[in-house]
Amino acid sequence: MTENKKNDIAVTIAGIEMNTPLVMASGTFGYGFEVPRVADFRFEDVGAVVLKSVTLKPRTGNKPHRIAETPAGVLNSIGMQNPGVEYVAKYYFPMLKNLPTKFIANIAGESTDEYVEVARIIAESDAIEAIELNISCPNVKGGCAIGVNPQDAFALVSAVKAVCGKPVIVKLTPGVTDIKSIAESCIAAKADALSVGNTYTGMVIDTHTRRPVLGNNYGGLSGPAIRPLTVCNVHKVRQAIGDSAIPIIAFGGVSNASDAVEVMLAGASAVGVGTAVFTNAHICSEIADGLRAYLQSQNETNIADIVGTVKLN
Amino acid sequence: MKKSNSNAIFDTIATVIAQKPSGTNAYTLTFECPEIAEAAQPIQFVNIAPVPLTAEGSPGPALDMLLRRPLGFSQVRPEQGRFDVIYQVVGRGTQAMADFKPGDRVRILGPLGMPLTADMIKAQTVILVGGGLGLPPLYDLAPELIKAGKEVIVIAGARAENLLIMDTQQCKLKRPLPDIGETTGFKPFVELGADCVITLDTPAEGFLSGLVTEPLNKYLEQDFDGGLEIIACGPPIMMKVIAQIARDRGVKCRLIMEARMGCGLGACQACVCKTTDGYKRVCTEGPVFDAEDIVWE
Ligand SMILES: Cc1cc2nc3c(=O)[nH]c(=O)nc-3n(C[C@H](O)[C@H](O)[C@H](O)COP(=O)(O)OP(=O)(O)OC[C@H]3O[C@@H](n4cnc5c(N)ncnc54)[C@H](O)[C@@H]3O)c2cc1C
Ligand SMILES: Cc1cc2nc3c(=O)[nH]c(=O)nc-3n(C[C@H](O)[C@H](O)[C@H](O)COP(=O)(O)O)c2cc1C
Ligand code: FES
Repeated sequence: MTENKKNDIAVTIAGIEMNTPLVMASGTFGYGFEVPRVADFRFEDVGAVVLKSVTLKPRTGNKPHRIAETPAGVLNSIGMQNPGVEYVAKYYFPMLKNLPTKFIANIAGESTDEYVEVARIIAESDAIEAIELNISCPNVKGGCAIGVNPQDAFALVSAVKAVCGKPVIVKLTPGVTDIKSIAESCIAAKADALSVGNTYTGMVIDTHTRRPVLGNNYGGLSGPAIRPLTVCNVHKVRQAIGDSAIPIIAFGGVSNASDAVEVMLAGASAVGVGTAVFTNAHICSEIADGLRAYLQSQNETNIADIVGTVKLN
Repeated sequence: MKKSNSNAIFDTIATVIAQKPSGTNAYTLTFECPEIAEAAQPIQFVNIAPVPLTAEGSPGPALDMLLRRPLGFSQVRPEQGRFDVIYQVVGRGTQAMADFKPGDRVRILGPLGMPLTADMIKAQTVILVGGGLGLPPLYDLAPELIKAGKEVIVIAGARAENLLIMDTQQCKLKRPLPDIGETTGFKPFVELGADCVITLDTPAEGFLSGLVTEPLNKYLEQDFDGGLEIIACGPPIMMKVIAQIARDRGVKCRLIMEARMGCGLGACQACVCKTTDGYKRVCTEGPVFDAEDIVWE
């Protein structure tokens, strides 16, 4: 083990060594190569990229509009548009090799068999470090069903673990009543990490036309508006599973270093960044710089040391 | 002259140089941003944060309005490191942009989308049809076409005279329409050497009345020996009708499409429009589409 450097923001999550605790959220960073087309993009500040959800078969996605702006948030209903796992594995994964960050594939499906089949294909790629199971997407029928029930979650995670030698991260749906018991069943099924937080189902109606703004009527709410919910869910799950259990990656509403610190204090070991990329493609570098400055100002040497250190009133 | 052929995209900070009213409820905004001004090519666009950065450089209140607004370049002056956009106030974001002051620093992403350059157009004559705020991006394209030796005819539509976004002037049409040898056109286009006619929904002295499709249909009666292409930008309903006319007449037609955007970079799949080959991203495969490929819903 190397000695920790001063102001070190590198972390290791589920065995994945990451430059920073910042994880680009699935669906907001494409297949890893689109956003970095901007000049001077710094991959070194990205801990890991979670790729857009892939499914077994190609999906055309929902009809437009697919995005609407809400106060301090956005509502999206992309509908998992993707060319299917075989295409993604053949054409997109090879482009990711040799880039100075880690890539995590994200899988969605409508049945356990589908998840398992996709996981099997992805497990063969050496461009991919780990798999995130999206069991919480509000935009496809069936996607949610697994995330809301502890037994199903256990069965799904066990089945994927059985075919996949790579770490398996489970992205939990935040909309459920008992996020704790689902988290516990994922741990029982040997999940390697939990992603806590996704979008929350919402709706926007155009008052002139009296029609929903989104083509799909409903969408998933993300952005700063949901951050307090993320902080709370991370804290609840961390308390429920205990400090020594598997790491949590927080998703939802982080747009600056202070937000990132907040979810880490609540118990997240890594921090997802999604919607904020729409406001600034370099957001990850800004947050990374802010985290280094935070460590210095707090006289801390390692970002991992602040995880879960919130003191309750 | 746009020189750069690089595909560079910049997410950077632009400085507001000036903001001037252009007609009613519309503004011309000038930004200084050398890297984008140098890389920009016709029909590309920029996504602009509707709220400036705070003095400390943080997004501040922009975190309430998260999405950047796509606006086409109306004029790019790479030698000055500047470019203009012309926009209409239609909602919360453009309303906020109307408060931009010289010196404001704004986060901006671009140039985005596939360019449309003169060498991509085979026809000798190009009819540019701009409905409302669909016109500015065509103004960025017109000089390229004229430099390439093409005949350019501009048909601009607006609801009423007070909504016209550019200065107008009397002009003699080089290619007259039946009964119309002289009319009122947009000065910037006329000065470039293009023919320009303006149609208004609300009739006004000196202008054509009705829809852009009326003069378009009349032009299409004429002979264009070197071939003809239509390029249209405006409200979806206008573009749909023009696509149909072009198809009926067997004329090549390209449309500049709009869609609500998230990332602007091809990552989120938000900005799609439906084509015969599935949903395509306006920010990446677009904004220019072959009219034949669009599936109207
Ligand atoms: C490639 C492209 C080029 C454009 N060029 C111009 C131009 O040169 N001049 C001009 O006036 N307008 C142009 N538009 C339209 C312009 O983007 C919208 O008018 C603007 O985004 C409205 O923002 P708002 O906050 O005022 O409206 P709101 O309705 O409050 O916006 C809510 C959300 O919807 C989005 N939105 C609303 N209307 C549109 C639309 N028509 N197209 C795309 N997104 C929309 C907004 O960006 C925002 O994210 C262009 C659009 C595209 C896609
Ligand atoms: C446009 C968009 C598309 C998304 N697509 C996916 C997806 O395909 N799979 C997934 O697991 N999450 C998806 N998400 C959810 C994000 O990964 C993230 O969990 C959520 O947006 C909350 O984080 P944020 O507030 O930082 O954006 C999407 C979010 C957005 C805004
Ligand atoms: S805006 Fe994200 S793909 Fe076009």
